[in-house]
Amino acid sequence: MNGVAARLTGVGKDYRYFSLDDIHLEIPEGHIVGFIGPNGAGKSTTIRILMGLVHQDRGEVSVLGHRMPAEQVAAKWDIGFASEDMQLYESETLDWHMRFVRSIYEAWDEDYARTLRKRFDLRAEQRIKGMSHGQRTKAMLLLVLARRPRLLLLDEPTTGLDPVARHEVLRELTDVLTEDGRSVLFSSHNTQDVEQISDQITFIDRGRIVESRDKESFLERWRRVRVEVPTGVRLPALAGVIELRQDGRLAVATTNAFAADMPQVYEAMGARVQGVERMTLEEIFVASVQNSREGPGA
Amino acid sequence: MNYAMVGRLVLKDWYLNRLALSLAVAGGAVALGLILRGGELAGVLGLSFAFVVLILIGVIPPMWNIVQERKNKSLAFVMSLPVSAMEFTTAKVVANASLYCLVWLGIVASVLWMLAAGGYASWIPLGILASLAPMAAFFLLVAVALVTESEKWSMVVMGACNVSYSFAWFLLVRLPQVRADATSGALVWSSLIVSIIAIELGVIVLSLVLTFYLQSRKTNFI
Amino acid sequence: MLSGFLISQADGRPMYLQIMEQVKRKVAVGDWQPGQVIPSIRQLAADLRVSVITVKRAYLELEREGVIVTQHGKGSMVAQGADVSSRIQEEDLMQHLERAVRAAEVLGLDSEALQSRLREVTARLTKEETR
Repeated sequence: MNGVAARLTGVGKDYRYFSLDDIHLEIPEGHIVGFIGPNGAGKSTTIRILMGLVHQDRGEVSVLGHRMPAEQVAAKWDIGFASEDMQLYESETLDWHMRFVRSIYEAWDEDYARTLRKRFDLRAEQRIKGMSHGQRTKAMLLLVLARRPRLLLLDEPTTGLDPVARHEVLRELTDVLTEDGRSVLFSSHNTQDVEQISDQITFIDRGRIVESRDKESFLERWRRVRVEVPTGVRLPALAGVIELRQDGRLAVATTNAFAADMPQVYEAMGARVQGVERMTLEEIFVASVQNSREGPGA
Repeated sequence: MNYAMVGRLVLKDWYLNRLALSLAVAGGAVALGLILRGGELAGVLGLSFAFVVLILIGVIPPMWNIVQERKNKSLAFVMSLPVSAMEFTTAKVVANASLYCLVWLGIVASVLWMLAAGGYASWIPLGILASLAPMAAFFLLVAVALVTESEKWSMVVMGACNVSYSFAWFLLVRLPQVRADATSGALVWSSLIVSIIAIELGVIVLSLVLTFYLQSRKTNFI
Repeated sequence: MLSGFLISQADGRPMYLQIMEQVKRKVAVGDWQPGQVIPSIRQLAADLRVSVITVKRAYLELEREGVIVTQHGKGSMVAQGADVSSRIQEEDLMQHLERAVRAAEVLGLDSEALQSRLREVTARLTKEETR
């Protein structure tokens, strides 16, 4: 245990209008990594590079001990990949897909597959054509989960799912870790889900990794400090404060490097600290991206 | 190369194309029935129908299981399986080619046999030349579809080939030497016909070679 | 072994604190006895659909507070002599008091005014109880 399920070192990929650059990413074994970032940031490309479906222009990729893309076939035996823009064969039924996947992978767990079908409320004889988007997503996840792969690479697995279905998927994903040696990387716009089940959060924006650390310390670094400022005083921005909004005598400082003595620093300036608030991952996400796009205090 | 995996993918494509296959067999049977019926009109109709079947079976399966699979994003599903790009390409070519050649052989062999038996043996060289044209077009289409993954380009190639049949046939049959040989009653292999057949076979081989070569150099599989 | 815990997003506090509180409540009411084995970190994480690292943090803090003991390889159990009931009530009380202080601030009341309000309420409730 405690090896690394996958590692990207200095990976880069160039497209005409977009570049992935200097990507360093690790998926520790036995962990869930939540991969977040705005649209077009490079999440899907990174995941495809991990799968060997896109060949990197620079850098090294190692997944489950296999160098990618050279050894992608060996790696894919143990990887479960599902993507938002991946589809099953419309004319066939879920049952046909289950039998097809089962014929390929020995590790297919038929009992678990049946349990998942019930939990996801899917009918085996239904054609993919007749399924809603949410049902198709669940069908694809079923096919991937029932094989119990060592590494799950999921691109937007909960997008478009109703709350019940999302809850079920989160349950299956957290269950994955009850078995030794299994790991998950999933990208999602649903910051609530990411905040809830991720052990590590990796944040990507415009083709570069902005931050990648364990969730608890990630969330501990971000705070909003509300202060009341004496009349006529404008607060200077402290180091680590990425956004400072002041309206009259009330100011809010957003920081991504919160230190326990920060309130004292403000008090020493004559301000009165009204409160120090934690931020949700969504608020952090928005503040981070806005800061990088517009600069502080926009 | 994992032959078991390639085999499974080939079976999958045969299965997914079962409707096209059945229709081709049915169409071929109808065409042959018409020819057997006797009489010039039925014969011409039958031959034309047979030709149309050869074209369609060379167009619909590749368009469906290569271009559409890509468009419908089922390609990502297949590539998420433990297959390499080469295994995938091999399976696609084998699946499509086997399907095509099966139908082709069935129809062409029957037609040629009927020509020979019915005393039209001198038409056999032209018959073979005509039959190989849709086959060359088929392999060309498979190559373009796999390599470019573009519906647009596939349609262009398909359209160009289809249009060219009538032109080529029209021009060819007007050549005095060709006319003479075909209506002579005896089996004559003129150098022109042989060269054209050689070119058609060349297109087939070149398409296959280019397919595998270009596929092996792809760096973005999806 | 299901814990029966419930983590709520509506509860403003971080998840690890919620987990800590629910563990302490279990101990306080006697559902979990001293020496009793409690769900492993991974089991609880899967049960609650939360990250392992969050449960790990909760358990670490609980161990620091002397509520549980974790033995490497053996799992976690309620600490012997863990007396949490009064501690939980204490924490509850402090939370309520903090809320009262903040509310008083908003109203602009100073510490004296707040204390006199407290005396008012105590007097009123005592009177109601003795009726």
